[in-house]
Amino acid sequence: MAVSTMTTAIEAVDGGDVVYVGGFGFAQPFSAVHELIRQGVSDLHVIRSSGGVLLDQLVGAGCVSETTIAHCWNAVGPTPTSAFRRAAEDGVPRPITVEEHGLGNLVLRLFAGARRLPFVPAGPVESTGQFENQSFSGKFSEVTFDGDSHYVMEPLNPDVSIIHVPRADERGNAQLTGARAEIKHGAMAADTLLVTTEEVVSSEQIQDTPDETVVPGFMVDHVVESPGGAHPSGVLGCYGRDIDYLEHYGEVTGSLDDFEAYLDEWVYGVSDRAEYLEAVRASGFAEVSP
Amino acid sequence: MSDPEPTQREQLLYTAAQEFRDESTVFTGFHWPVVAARVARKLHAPNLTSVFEAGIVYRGTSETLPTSTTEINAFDGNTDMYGNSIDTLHTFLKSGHLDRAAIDVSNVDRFGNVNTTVIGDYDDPSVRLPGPGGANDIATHAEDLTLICGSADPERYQDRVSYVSSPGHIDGDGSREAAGFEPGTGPSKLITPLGTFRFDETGRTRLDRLVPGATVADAREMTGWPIEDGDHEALPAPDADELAVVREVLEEAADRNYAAIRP
Repeated sequence: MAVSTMTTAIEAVDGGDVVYVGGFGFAQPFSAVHELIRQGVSDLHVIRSSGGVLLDQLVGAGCVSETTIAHCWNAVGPTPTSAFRRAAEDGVPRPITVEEHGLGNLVLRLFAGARRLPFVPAGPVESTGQFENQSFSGKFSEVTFDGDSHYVMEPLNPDVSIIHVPRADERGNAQLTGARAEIKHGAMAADTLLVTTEEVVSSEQIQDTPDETVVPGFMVDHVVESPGGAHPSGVLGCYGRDIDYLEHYGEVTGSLDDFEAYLDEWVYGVSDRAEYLEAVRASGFAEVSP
Repeated sequence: MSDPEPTQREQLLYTAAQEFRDESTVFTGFHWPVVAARVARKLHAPNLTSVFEAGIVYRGTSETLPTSTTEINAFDGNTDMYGNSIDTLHTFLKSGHLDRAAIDVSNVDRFGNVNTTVIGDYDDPSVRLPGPGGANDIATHAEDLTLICGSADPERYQDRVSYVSSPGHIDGDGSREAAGFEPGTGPSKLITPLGTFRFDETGRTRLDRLVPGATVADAREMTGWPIEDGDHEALPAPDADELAVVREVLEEAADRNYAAIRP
């Protein structure tokens, strides 16, 4: 496997695909998502643990028809993610259906997907909103085990998963420093796995710290070098969360017109990550040095 | 001269900080619990351990207040363990080894159910809120759960929420256990700007203590809940040194873009 360009890697995503996008409040693949938006991929079913600004942008750009999440907001503030709200409340720019789970159940569905299990038990869910409002048939199925009644859930198996890491080698061995959230499970549950990385490093460097590898290279289909690719979220060991940028995002995306102006400036108005980072620098936000 | 009397918010954080004891381990939810835990760390709990949902075991006092529980750079150097969300939301929560959990609630009813998902119909909402994240799992599994509501707005206190994002005692009278939740789990305390409530054996709130100066009538007006007249011990107010620490943490929060605090 050779290192891919972002354009080539994102061409692996087709309209209508189920796509897991990794990263929690950190290590979010923003550069890959901006390329998805530029390529105009539509009708995606996006799985995210914490939707955040990243999901807000995908939804606001009209790429998403369905999403499975535990929540979606701008963690700085916190403030609402306005594009997500416009889609859910008013169907603008297009309607989305939102399948909500408690984070623990969502993570278990990815865990089961990664292990190709037939189903996975849910925690107690009766009387919760997630149980009572089942827009999705078969979200929870009742089974009997050893005489007791339980609920089980379908595993999640994305067509494509996209994760961002600080280091990977040419063979795709991908390393993460710090908290892991559900990133490994979401990555391993997919048919096709794209890894974007701050830096492509030597295999010797990977083998110096093999305990930091979250996905072995043989499970990876594309590795893309994308310095600064997680901005405005942080990558431990590389750069921190850009809280001023995230606050700015909340302030300038409140209305549909303003959101579209944001996309024109920061996504459609740049051709790649290098240009984006130059715009970040020119606007006086934090220096991003991978 | 700074005002010697705490504001409502300063008193709330001081009260909530008492939930975080030194040498204890608390599953610490997003927002006010993180800020209250920092007050505790600086006042009386330098050896507090916080578990955060993304897989983090954080002990001591980091140099920087995190903007959220996933801003790893803010507390790197004070972490005992980097794990994953199955470790935290399943293994740790159900292990019996946590002393307490605390979550932020912005819309709560008298059974301790929390709605952070929708106002109106789920499929056609008038307001789509963020959703519960890991607070749902904490409310599902934690054995000693403290709810912290930072607002005194009566609209935040419901008789019964229309959508249960994070489960409290459901409709009370054993309905939580009947729905399959483990006995002994669920909210035990609610901290509000006017006072604290405990959940009684029926799963309903019962006024416990009032902040200095607040009355039963004030608590009734804020919550809309039936509260019997009676004497309620006043919560302790911070002394001058303690209040200075609360204010210092609130300044940190303002510097770190906490929207509720910024002018």
